[in-house]
Amino acid sequence: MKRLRWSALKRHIALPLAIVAAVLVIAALVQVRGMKDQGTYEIAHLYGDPSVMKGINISGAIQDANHRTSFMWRHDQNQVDTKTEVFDNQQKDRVYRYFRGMFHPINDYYYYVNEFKDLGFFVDRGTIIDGNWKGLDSINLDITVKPLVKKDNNVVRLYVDRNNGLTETKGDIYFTLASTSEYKGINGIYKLNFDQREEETAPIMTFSLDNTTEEDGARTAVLGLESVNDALALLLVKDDKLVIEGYRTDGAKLGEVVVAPFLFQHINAELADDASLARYEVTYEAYSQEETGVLSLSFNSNQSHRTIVTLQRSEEGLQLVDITEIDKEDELLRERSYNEFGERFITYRDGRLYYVGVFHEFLDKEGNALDPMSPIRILLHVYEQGNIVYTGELITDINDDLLRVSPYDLSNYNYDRAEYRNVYDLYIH
Amino acid sequence: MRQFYRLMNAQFSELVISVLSLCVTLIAASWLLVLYKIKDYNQYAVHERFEDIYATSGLPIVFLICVLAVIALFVKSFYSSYWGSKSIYTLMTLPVKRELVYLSKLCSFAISMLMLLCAQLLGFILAYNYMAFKIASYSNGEFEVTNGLFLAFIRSDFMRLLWPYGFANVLSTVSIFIVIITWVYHLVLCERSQRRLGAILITAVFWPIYLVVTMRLDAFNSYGAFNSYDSSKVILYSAILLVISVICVWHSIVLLRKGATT
Repeated sequence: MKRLRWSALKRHIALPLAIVAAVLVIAALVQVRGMKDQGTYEIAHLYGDPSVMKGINISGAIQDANHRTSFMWRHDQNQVDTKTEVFDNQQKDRVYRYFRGMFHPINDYYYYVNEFKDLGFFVDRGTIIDGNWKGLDSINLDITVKPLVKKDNNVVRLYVDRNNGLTETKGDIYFTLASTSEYKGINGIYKLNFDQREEETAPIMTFSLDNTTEEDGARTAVLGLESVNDALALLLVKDDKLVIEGYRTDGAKLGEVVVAPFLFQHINAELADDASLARYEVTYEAYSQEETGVLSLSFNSNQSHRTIVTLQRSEEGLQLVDITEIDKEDELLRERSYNEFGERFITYRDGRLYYVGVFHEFLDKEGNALDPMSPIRILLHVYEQGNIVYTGELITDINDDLLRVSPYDLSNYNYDRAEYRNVYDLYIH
Repeated sequence: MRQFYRLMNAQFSELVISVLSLCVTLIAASWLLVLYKIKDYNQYAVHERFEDIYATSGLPIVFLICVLAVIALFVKSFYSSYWGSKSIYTLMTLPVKRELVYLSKLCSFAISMLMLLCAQLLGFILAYNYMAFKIASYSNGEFEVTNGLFLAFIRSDFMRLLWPYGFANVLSTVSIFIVIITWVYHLVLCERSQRRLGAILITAVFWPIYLVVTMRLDAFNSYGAFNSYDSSKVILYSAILLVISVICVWHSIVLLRKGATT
């Protein structure tokens, strides 16, 4: 009887089994892949009145080598929209680790400023393949800037990051040579055209670093070049002043902003005896908000605070809008010192400073601030006249990636940025 | 069509019990090996991610062994018609086209592979859910990974190889399975009819498979750009594999029509 039933069954067994297997495979794949937007994205109000967030949206992405979830954090509607893209293959290059002074990413390429003793300055454009730099083009610039030879040690210390002299606006790359006060000569702003390298690159404007007649007196220092909409902002340090000069892309001047006193540790710290004045680091961060034409420059000081100088691009030119000092209060919440891939964004609107960023949470004060294996929090702070008026948080499941660290200490684990989700491209709309 | 249907069921019924047992074994192994791997997990243990547990538990090797076992079962069923009853003579003298005999055997082989793949996928999901269940029993949320099944699925190299994203990768996985099925069948037919083409095709089959797999796994990345991922190359190698499959099918049918295999 049993044998009879099997002989009847086996005449029709292939097709049903094939269909069952195919249906199971499709159902499982649809179900698992359909879970791509089921990660945690919740909004928390931690302090103050959330009404200051009216009309403010924050976009960004959480990404590892395998996938990227772009989010739109609509704070006043208490809603986060997400969209997840799974990469076809591991995108290790997109999470290429950037160090200050190394290849500087702008849009699709990486840039690098080179100096050769007798040949002058070069801006190289390249790409990163399998973690290795591959140079594509190079532009030689005829800049007659020379270091002052100091009598005491004959060494010129370069504290500024030359990559700060690179900026992009409307698809074009502009460059100025960042230098400390120990350089002399004629600098300028150059429009870099990598497609027509045969023509000599002429500056759109030039300026002299020599504001003194003394042979080895301190000159104008160039911190960098930034852009907001179609305007370029040239950041200079003259005497004890921070001077930001606005330029059109054709070289016409667009106003000037002076902030004084503004002292930098390695440029003009000796100009004021007052020890209570903050000394800033020459490396700064610039945040350009295209829709409102606001450029916020953030400087870190030795007094453990961040000073944000906000400029507005208006019809008359660049104008100073606001200077806010932010105290870094919480010792256990620290930011990474570099803003490599948009881990922070700062902007100013309607009398308030909005500051969103990634903070690493430490269990004790001894925790290494650079340790990427510490939990991440995405926090939003709003300041009005220098006072904090609101704190919010985007709660995500990003720290689940640190599974293998818990419950042990944060050290002794290999960290591969490709394996862990990180926050990218934060932007306030 | 009816002849084909009957033939396919007849061929498949020789394989079905063994293949089903293999599928059950694979699902059970997925569960048991993960169970063994996390047997010491508690709230004081270092927890690895599921994709790492799956990879280090040996399940990718177990799956490969199962694929080899399905191939062996197919080869055994092929040769069984030459041994003992010599049913190959009956098969060849049936009043049906030789192409249908070939296709029915090929289809039963393909269905067996599909069932094994299905078992692999179900085993993965089962093992994940078992682990999540076990961890949830003692964790207060600190060891759980939100949306972990999806993350494990896209982060596991092995799963990305079998269940890929993107046109080029899907094409390459599909073509690898097609070429294995058609080439193995062609190889045994060549052996029966004493043709050398089957042996010659070994390199032609394995070199592109090797290149595609290493490229998709980024296996040589740490040594520089030996074989970095390039979707056009993946499509090219897949096309080569599909061309080889077509050659295998065509030559197999030629051999069967000639009656060279008896």
